[in-house]
Amino acid sequence: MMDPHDVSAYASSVRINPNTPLSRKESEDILVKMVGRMAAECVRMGAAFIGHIKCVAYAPSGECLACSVTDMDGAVSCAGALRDGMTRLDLIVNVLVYGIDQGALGDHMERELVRTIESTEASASIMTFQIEKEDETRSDRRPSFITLTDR
Amino acid sequence: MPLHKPDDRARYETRREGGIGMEILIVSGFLGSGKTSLIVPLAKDLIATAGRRIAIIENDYGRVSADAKLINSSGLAVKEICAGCICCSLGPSLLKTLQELESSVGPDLIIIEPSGLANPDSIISTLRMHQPSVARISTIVLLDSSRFAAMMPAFDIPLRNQVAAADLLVVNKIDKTDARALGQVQQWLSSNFPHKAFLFSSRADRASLDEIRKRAWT
Repeated sequence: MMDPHDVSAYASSVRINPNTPLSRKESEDILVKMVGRMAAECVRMGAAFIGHIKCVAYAPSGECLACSVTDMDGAVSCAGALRDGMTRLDLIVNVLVYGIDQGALGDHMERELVRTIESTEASASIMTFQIEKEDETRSDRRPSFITLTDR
Repeated sequence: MPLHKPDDRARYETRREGGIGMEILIVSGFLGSGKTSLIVPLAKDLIATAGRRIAIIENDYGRVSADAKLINSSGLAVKEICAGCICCSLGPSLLKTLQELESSVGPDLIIIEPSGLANPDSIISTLRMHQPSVARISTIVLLDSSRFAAMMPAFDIPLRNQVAAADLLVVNKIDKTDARALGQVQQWLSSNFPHKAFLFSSRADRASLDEIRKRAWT
């Protein structure tokens, strides 16, 4: 049983190469849905408190879109915007949640990332950074590097 | 008005002998309290209105910082300190980064955004012990009024520590807070920190940003 005061962290860097360029709205929809799903599942898994679930997408040309959830109601706030015709999305995902096991949180986040990538019919790579609080029972699971090629 | 005066806030201040050293502004607050959303326009305003050289240090508990990327994309220079908290395990990294910035950039002001879990007083103690060239250390603490009722039962101690360390306390996200919840925040503050002045603020409130800027830099 997790102590609700125990914080679990997840961070990853993701590069998505969509098969067809994304419009500004499509990029935003992808991020909003993904961050919203991440939050909803954290609540379902028994999170005591969402510190933050953040995703920043940035383009090589400098535009940036940040989407985050900081509340248990899962409302997604966004700032910034990407341009139309995005052929590459670089994401940073950063999560701090209370009351969920570290390993379970990492598994959940990676599932959501893969689901998002699959929904965009893109090739992608996910670099998951070593989880900060060592979980001895899962010490073999980080760091990981997942590559999803054209599908 | 400066965030604190040399006479009454001497515990936070040291002066470099024979000159004025750089200043440090710590923008603290619990997770999701709006620190980055304040820092970006505040730094831009300070550069535009005071013409000062500013560097930002972003500390994230995670191994990679989303906020640093966000700040950087807004055209501001930022140094990241990741994978821990600068109020405890990463104190040495903070000092090293400060020294690098001081020698390479020579900023007038360094804005530090600690992790939302940080105790600002621990950061201040570290700086006071090891950074004698810092002319002034000021702390803005953001308190998220919209989640206050949910946070207090679980995070009473860290919230108290953060509020206690504030030179300027900003009760933030009032646009997302109903009157009853805002009253609870005020009640808690008046009971626990009766002498602590505070400002109300929200992301859309330009007037409060101006007021914060005035108090943060004179």
